[in-house]
Amino acid sequence: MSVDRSGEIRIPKTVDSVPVDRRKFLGFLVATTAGMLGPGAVDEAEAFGFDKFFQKHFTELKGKKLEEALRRIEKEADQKFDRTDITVAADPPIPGVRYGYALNLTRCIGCRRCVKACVKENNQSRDPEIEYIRVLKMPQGTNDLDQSEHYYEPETVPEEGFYYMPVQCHQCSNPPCVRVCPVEATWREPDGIVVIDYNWCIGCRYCEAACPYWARRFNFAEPKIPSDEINPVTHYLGNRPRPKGVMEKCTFCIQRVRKGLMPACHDACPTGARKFGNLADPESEVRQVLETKRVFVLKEEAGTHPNFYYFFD
Amino acid sequence: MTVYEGTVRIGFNGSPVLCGSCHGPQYRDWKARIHGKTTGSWETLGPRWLCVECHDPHSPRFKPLKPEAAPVKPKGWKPARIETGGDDHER
Repeated sequence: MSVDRSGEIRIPKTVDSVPVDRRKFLGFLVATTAGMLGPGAVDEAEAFGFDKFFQKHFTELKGKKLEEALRRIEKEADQKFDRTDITVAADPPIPGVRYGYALNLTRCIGCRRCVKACVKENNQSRDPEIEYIRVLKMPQGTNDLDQSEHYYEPETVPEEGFYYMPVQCHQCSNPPCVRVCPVEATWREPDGIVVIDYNWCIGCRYCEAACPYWARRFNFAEPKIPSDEINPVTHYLGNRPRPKGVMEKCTFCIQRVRKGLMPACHDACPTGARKFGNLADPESEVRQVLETKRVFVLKEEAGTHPNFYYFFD
Repeated sequence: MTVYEGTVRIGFNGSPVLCGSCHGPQYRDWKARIHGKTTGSWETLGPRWLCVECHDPHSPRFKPLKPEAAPVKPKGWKPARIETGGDDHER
């Protein structure tokens, strides 16, 4: 192929390639595209192809466009998991609310009930396995994370001489994961929850590398969830089914907390070690903890200002 | 019955008063919603769970539990240095 002085592209004649002019080529392209879509396929292509590809960033989706996107995603999810009841909401943040979490390390026994409740609530992939919460087993008398272990599997917990520290997304006020995202697919909502637009994420995993708490997970393969284990009540920024190749993370169960419910990990805890509430409300449980207990945050020196606090009795 | 808040009649809903007469710090924390468990809504803060709803009155300490399954280990995972006695990093 060469370009002559007039700027015309010429394809050299060879045995099995014939010169094609531009106009003919474009005509061919249009014809084949239309042929591929066909009269029956147009509906589906509109529902899942063009609209999905040209969907705007979540923060720019308003009114009718947002409604359309939500309905399209519902249809997609229903089809994928062979269900009819999956709903995708987009509840906005409640004004005057800043979510905070406090976890009582004296009470936690490391039973991983929170981990499994989270997997169920948030439609995480069962194979390959994705879990948002990692429970660290730590020797008593230290908070050196190098000595922690999270693959522990004894007969019963708690074990003598150890304490347990569950780690999940800390919903930082200064989130490093948000700053490194090259496409602004992740951001911090006004109520303090760091969220991801799965339709906008390009899967570069910079955020995973930037997070000091190992809170972000990547879908290396198409997530597999049994159809009857799907939680049909979902949120666009939270637990709606994710495709392969996007990041996901704990959102404090955005689909629950924006309706006034507690996160699933909180409700699953058998010892009451977890406290959740509105940091802006002086009467809330989490504020009571902050005001009366000695609290600390993990990796304070990283300057991330987490909204997730640990405390001792 | 005489408890530290005076002589009161303890009903079935009165376990915090009775237990709190000895377990002061726990009672104080329970009243402040720090000890114990709340379920339902973080906005309206529903009714509290009483002592005996979580603790067996005859054996109040929580029994050891079988933990849920551990996460799947990544391919080629080896225990950390602390547990192998430093072999991996001694060269």
